Amino acid sequence: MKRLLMFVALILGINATHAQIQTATLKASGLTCSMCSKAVYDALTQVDFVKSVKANIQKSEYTIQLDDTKKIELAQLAEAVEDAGFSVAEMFITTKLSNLTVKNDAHIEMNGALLHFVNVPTKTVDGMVTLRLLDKVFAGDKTHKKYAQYTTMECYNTGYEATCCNTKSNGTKARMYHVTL
Amino acid sequence: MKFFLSAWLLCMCAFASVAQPTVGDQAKEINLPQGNGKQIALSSLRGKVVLIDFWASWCGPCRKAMPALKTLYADYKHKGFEIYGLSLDADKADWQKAIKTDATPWLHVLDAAGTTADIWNVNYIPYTFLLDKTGKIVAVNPSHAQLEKLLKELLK
Repeated sequence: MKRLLMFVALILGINATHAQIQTATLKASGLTCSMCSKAVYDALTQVDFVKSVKANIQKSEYTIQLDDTKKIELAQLAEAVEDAGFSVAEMFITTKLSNLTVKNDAHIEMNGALLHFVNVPTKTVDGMVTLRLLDKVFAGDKTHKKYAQYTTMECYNTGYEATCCNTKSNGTKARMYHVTL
Repeated sequence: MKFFLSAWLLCMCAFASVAQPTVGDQAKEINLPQGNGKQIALSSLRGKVVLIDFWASWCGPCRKAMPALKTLYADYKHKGFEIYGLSLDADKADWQKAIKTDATPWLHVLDAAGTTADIWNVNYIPYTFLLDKTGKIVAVNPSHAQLEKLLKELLK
């Protein structure tokens, strides 16, 4: 029987430009008993910026509280799950936005993580929002491909800043995370 | 979906401060239904040494642990050992079938909503707690050897 693990990262933000990430939810997949796995639980709790992990075995979900005083590299959550022998099927992050206008291809930064909005209506968001991660490591190939039609930006496929959106003067390419509402 | 998720997340935040029950703690009350619908309170087992076994029919490692538990149960039941098998199956039929297949003769209750697993902060299964005759937690996830040693001590 295929069990899915879902991981929720609740990401709470104070303001648009310096929004703070606090929690995540993610669903991982694997052919065996992923929700039995002490390895997944242990791997997630050992990630540097993870404060606590709580599993909901019935819902096959992990809720991960993040330490917003640290730099949050979301990819490390996927790596932890993969190191334990599973993969992430779905991941959501929740954050508080204050009067931030989101639109397609808008970029915002949270705890040093660059978020790129895909397939969203242009609207001003004030309050808690849940965002779904669309990068392959968080959503799988199928979902990633489905959303590819909504952006032409190169970073959607590479996962790194491209010349179109490079904000760093020294030319280093930052990791980008693609999200939808 | 998003509203539900947000609401659920808020609940999770509220639960985040709930600490894992540890050795020395008095076990929190559990009152869950058996296959026939009749509830068994954990507190009704005071006076016995009780192993709470969080498991589910779909959990391979849990099922694999059953034969060893059956041996211990056969050896210590008459001395006052009881197992409170607490399944997290969402489907009652799957649960009943697994009990029948494994022929596990102890008490079985169903936590279909996962409420007890949440309160007890069980983050993976199998997950076990051994309680002494007064309902105090004496071991969390003991190995087979540890469990046998403790049963010998507690059921002298």
